[in-house]
Amino acid sequence: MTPRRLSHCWHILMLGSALAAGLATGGCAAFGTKPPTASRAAAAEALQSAEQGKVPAGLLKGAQDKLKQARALEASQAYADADRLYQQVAWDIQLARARAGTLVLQQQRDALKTEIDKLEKQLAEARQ
Amino acid sequence: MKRRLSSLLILLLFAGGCAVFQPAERVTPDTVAKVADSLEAAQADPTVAKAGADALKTARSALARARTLQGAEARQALYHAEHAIELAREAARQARLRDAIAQLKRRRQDLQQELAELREKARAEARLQADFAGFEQVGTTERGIHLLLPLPNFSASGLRLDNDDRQALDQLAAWLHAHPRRNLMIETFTDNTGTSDFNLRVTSTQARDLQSYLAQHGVNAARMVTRAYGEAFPMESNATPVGRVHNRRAEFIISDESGVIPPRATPPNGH
Repeated sequence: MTPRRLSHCWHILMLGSALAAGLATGGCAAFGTKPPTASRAAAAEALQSAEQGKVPAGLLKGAQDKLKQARALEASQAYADADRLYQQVAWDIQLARARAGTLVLQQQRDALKTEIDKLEKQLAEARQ
Repeated sequence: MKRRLSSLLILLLFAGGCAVFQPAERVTPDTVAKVADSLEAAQADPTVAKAGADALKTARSALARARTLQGAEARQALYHAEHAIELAREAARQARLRDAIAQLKRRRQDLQQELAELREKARAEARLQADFAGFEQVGTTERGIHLLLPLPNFSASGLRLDNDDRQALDQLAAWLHAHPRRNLMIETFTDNTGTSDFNLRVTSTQARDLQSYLAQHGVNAARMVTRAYGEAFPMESNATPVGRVHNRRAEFIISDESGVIPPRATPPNGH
């Protein structure tokens, strides 16, 4: 092998390494290095618990969609993005649960208002 | 020269490789400032600050993290901060609702109590009406149970009772017998025909006769007091025959369990 060829080989090798390193660096940033097992389990558990805990389906729709999206990202080995999405799912469900609690309180308040209206009418009748 | 070019190319490729996978969307200072404003507004609300204290702490921590990170990680931290702020607001909504519910429950309790009292009063009135069905009027006043018996037949010599009057007085005697702690005040009134002295004498006789009748029917005389008012306290105008008839009457006041009967206010003419 001539020195010139050797030089070409060296350049090709360097170019390949650089490309691989670039891809790896960028790829790691976007895709992570290992499956997000913990966040996936936490998100799935939170969703299941919310579904069983009578959180209205309407409040969970966004989280359910996001969970599907996260699973798709994980399947395509975009682990870091999937991990972040799984985390968001858990947070979204936490908020959905809080909103469900608010709805229950609103219903209680409205039921009390109705009951009080009825009592006031009965009182007005009793006073006559 | 060639080596330099190659090195440059390598560097470009490396940078390009990284650039390809860097997220396109960047976290701008404006985005961070927007979340910071939102956090500040939430903290300024006393209810949010109190009810959502834990969530606000999380939000502050996430926002601080977002300021130190870049790209997707920064965006994620901002998302977390926004989420925590919303959680704090939700906690405040719930706190306000709980306060409202507590107030409404108190209001409901008051209304239920008032309604129960009114119903009990109505039941008591209905019982009284049934117990004293022979009387013209039955009611409850500040002085006690109030009964009215018309005495339309004027007689200077004494009380003339018909069967209905006796039936009513018998009911009263039976009721007093069943309620030994209650006392009775007998008040008699007439119209303004005749002199005041004469009318006072007539009503005194009527009161005494009523007391005697009840005593004969088992009511201890010590439980009864009489008040003769003559022509004082007319119920209606004495200018008409109907009014005069209505003014000739006896009123019975039954005390509560204390046995005390407040006196009637002094009549305008001094009787």
